[in-house]
Amino acid sequence: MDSEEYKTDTTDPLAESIRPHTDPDTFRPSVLKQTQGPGAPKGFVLGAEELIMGRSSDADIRIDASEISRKHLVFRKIGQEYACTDLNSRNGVYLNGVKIHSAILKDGDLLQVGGAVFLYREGG
Amino acid sequence: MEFYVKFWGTRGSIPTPGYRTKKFGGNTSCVEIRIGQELIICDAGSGLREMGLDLVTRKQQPPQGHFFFSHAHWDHIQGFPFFLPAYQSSYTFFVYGTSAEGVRVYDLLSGQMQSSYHPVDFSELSANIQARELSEGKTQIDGIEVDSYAMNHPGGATTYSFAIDGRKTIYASDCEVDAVLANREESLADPQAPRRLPTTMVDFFRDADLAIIDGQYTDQEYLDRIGWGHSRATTLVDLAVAAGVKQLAVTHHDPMQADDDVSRKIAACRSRAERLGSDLIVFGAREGMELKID
Repeated sequence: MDSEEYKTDTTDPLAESIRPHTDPDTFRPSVLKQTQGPGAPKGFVLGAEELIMGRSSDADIRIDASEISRKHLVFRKIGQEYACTDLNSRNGVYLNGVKIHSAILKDGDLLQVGGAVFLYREGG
Repeated sequence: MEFYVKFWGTRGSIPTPGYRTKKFGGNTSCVEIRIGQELIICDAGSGLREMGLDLVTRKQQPPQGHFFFSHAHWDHIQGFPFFLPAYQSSYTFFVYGTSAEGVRVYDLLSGQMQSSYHPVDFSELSANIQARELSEGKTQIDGIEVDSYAMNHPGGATTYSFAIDGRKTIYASDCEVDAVLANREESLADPQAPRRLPTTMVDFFRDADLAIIDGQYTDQEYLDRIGWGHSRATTLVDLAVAAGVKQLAVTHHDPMQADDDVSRKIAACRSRAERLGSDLIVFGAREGMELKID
């Protein structure tokens, strides 16, 4: 089945869910929606290959709160997905309530960093 | 000494790739444990392939790797023929087993690479791969205490604990804990009833920081699969609470369970832990997730 066939069938939910999202007109980037903590509500578009989140003024995603380390975690792009890794932060990174060292983010994940909570929305 | 656990395969029975299993993953059992410089690999399901691809790119290479197999059913060995480091002479791997079974696991691992099943013969692998036997179910690897416990599964299965400096992780795949409950009939008739576990099993799991256990079925699913060798996920909560486990990773997800099904299974476990008055952390093991054991 080629991409043209995918485009012709928009009524089949399965076909729609696996349709390649390479069309720049329909492509949506992955985003982190901050729902709690300093500065919320706020959205961060994930586009770069690597992004640092932390309290530091030169962090790509800056969260100004004392419980957040200067460089708290890093997001790295792997294909169309993002992996997040704790940078030995003081208070850790929680994914859906579980303290993790690293994980590949999936749509709907809740990421907690200090008092800040983010909802991950996968692009595609 | 740093202690990490990473999930590379969390699915039971057969690989189930696809959009339904995107969150928890579709690869069969494989867990990586890194303690200091040592690399321990629990089971070689299809998740091992990805792990091998990752391993060869790492800046810090382990001096050797140690394979521990719960048992040799296909979903626990099928990744080995596609494990890239096995084809490289710079690697050494030890394959552990219990007494005579040690040789058996090694033989079955190599047996699946005969020409009838796989184009590359085991003897053609470049890595140094050796069978090792556990002595009375135990061994030590550079200060890491390894212990084992026989579990209820068709053909048998082995659970392992890895402990160092007061930190302990347990890998328990393919086990039907429900089959050895003292009040088995009662717990089937009334899923809310407490599940009475063998003391020896509780003692083995005692005070683990992380217990990774086969919880393939929901309470309802289990009723049609009694004797198949896998547990109700909710039974693991009782085990973990009784043993004072800090974190429970439910793994070996049923191939029929989509991500939402696994999430509901975990939610039921969390409700049970709450009802038992426990602060146990329960989560569904998922591919790519890595924990640091502090």
